[in-house]
Amino acid sequence: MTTKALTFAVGRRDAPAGSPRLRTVNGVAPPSIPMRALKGVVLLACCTVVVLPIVSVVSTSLADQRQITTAGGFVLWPDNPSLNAYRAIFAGGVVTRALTVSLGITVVGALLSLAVTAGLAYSLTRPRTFAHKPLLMMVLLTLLFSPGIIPSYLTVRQLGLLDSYWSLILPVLVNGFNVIVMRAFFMDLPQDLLDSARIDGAGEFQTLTRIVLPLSKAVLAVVGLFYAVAYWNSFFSALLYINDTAKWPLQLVLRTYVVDNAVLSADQLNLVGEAPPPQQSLQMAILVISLVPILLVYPLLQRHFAKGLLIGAVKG
Amino acid sequence: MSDQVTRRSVLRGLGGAALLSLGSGSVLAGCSSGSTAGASAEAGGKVKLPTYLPYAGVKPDLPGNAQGVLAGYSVYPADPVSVIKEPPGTGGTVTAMTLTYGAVPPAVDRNRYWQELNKRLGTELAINVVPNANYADKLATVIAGGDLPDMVQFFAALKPPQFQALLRSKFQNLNEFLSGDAVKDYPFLANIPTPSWRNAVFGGGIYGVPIPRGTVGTIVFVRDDLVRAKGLQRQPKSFAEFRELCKGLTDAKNNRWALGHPPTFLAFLEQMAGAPNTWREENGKFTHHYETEEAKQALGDMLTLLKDGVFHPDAAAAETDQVKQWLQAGTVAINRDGAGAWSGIAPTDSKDPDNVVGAMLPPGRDGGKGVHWAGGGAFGIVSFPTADKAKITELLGICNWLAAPFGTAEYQFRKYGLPGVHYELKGSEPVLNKTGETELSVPVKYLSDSPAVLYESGKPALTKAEHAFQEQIMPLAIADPSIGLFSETQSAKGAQLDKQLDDTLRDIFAGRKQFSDWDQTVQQWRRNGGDKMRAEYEQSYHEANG
Repeated sequence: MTTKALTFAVGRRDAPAGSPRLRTVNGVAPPSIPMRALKGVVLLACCTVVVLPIVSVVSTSLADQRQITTAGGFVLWPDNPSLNAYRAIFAGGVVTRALTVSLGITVVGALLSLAVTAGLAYSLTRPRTFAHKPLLMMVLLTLLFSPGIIPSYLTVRQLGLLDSYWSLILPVLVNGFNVIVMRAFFMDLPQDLLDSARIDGAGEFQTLTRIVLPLSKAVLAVVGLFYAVAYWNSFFSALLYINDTAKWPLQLVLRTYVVDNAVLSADQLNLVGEAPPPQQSLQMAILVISLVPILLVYPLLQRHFAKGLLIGAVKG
Repeated sequence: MSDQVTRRSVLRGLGGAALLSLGSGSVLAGCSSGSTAGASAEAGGKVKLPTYLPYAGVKPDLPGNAQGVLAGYSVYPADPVSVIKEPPGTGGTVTAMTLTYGAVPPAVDRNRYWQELNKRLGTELAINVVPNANYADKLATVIAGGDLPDMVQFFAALKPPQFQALLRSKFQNLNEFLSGDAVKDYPFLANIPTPSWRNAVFGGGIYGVPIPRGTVGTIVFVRDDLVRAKGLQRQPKSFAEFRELCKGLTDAKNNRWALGHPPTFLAFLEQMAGAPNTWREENGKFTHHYETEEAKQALGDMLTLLKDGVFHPDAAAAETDQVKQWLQAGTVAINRDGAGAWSGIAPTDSKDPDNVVGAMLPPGRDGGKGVHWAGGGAFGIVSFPTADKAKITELLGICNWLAAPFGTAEYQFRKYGLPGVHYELKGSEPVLNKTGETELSVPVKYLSDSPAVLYESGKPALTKAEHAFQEQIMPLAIADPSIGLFSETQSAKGAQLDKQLDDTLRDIFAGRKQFSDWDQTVQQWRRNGGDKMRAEYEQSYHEANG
């Protein structure tokens, strides 16, 4: 229903209507020009507040040390833009390798998670599934209690997953919240549709793959993005389970540049002959690198994203 | 879980100091003599510390001394000789876990430095590299998981809970390998000064090999160029003169202030007032520095300075990194930092870098001399889980190799890699190239290291200035008597208790609390664990000294 309402509103706004003077939106007269100008200024101010830090991050990543020192940390526009910080990060191939690892984990992880979540969520919408209630309770329980670090580590170790990429995926394969969101969406599908599929001879699996999933692109996009962002951003499980630095994902590698050198530079530790701490531009370059892939994916999913969020929000 | 390594905790780890034995022993740092020095006193839990045998193979231009002045080298020693003939490893793999502050090294299959290191060590060194910010979590998890690597690094300021009990139950007591003259089997471990070893003693056992650092610790840097421009003198003789200097250097209209970070500077004011280095020990009785009248005096002086407006207006919220940048930019003129920071302070485009930065001695508050809080002498220790004698001997051999001193071929390889691949020679001095900078980030320096020396590449004048300053400040140095002693409360609750005090200090600096609130905060600190800490140190001291 919400989808329909949205489409309706959009349709009305786009519809041509009389002369400009008489044009109304939802029956309300358009604001006067000064009011519109004021709104424009306020919106512009809001946009500036959002955009400025991003510009500053990108600019600082391109600026040289001297300008950063003079500006006191952040630069608004680089005088002599250079890609030195990016070159330094990509030198030696550590970051490139980590990028590949991260992309692999994100894609494989998100797909597996989606498959498992969709299966679980669908089975939880079928009232007569085996152990339906206890299963649902178990999913809900994970929202309240999360396993501690050490028990998780022991489990991963005993499964022989230490130093394996699977240790980054399997322990977080299913997220209770996402199951609930997806289940809510599935429950909203017309029962008649599923019944007619059954009459046509479809089993549960066929109903899921042929009827339910094609109708659920919106929620799949949203939940898929949730999972992908979580896999992309996660560093802590890698920190615990992956000892071989060659297998580290991007976020953990980048973290060593940003956090450690920011908290404690070599100088403070009184180390003789230590390389100087990386510059601010290096840290900003890292921010840019870690943001870009998600920023690239987001516009492609945005349409589904808004729809899916609304649906998940009002049904439960 | 456990918190990050804060600057404060690091300074305590490095700060505090183990000069205790040096006063009595005829130890000669540097390389003037190869004779056995009598520094292996019976201290730190009734254990004979390893005998100190300074390596005499490479002669410094500026000698070090027993007070902790580091040996200085004007130029890099030419044609370093190899001092270890046989690889210490016996084949197979040695696993190690350490924190790092640097970038992640390229994996061993793409890292010629790491490959060559393995070859020279005679073993596959598999290092589990953990970023500093998460080391506590990882350490706790691995310990709980029970599969400990062959070498585990314990950072001085960040000990896991029940540390002493953990060492006793899971880690090798190295007394039979290292105590007294036994250390002679590992000549470069014997070259590590005694104050550093004190960090490795727990309840009567040597439970690790220290990663040595100089005991100079944190000092006060001054932008000499700014001082000269105002026609002032860098070295004040009392607090009154220091105050005048700060006022003279402050020029708010031109975006210039004398000081940057009140919490960092309180320590300097305490040193002027003669407060103890973390703890004061008198006849086995311990007093924390914040309990002393000297600290209260320093706090009063701090408020005077704040009222004078000589601190940067953003000082209250500034991070230490920010303040370093201010000093480099000339926005502040005075800052307290690790002694190793000296060469990095001058602005990069300075025409006369030798004359830009100077350092200040702590004057006595009312004239005379102040005290200097010496550093702890070790970054941390490397411990080995209990193993058979052959394994321990191999691991100690590896540490010995990794501790080969400045001027040897092993040192040169460790710090600079292979000629033509990782570095080029500029005169006698190796200069890392891009490959070198990337591949040498393998953090072996946190598994063992040689004692610190003073050597500023291409800046002999700076090396000389640093050495001269150390000769002036080290006679003022006082040690932290709690180093080499153990307090479970400090280990478990120290950071939390420090935070309460720090928060109050910040509130007082910002005017949110009154000076008069300080006494109450100290009382609260005592109730919440300070008194327990004191009792544990006193007991530990009693056990160590009979």
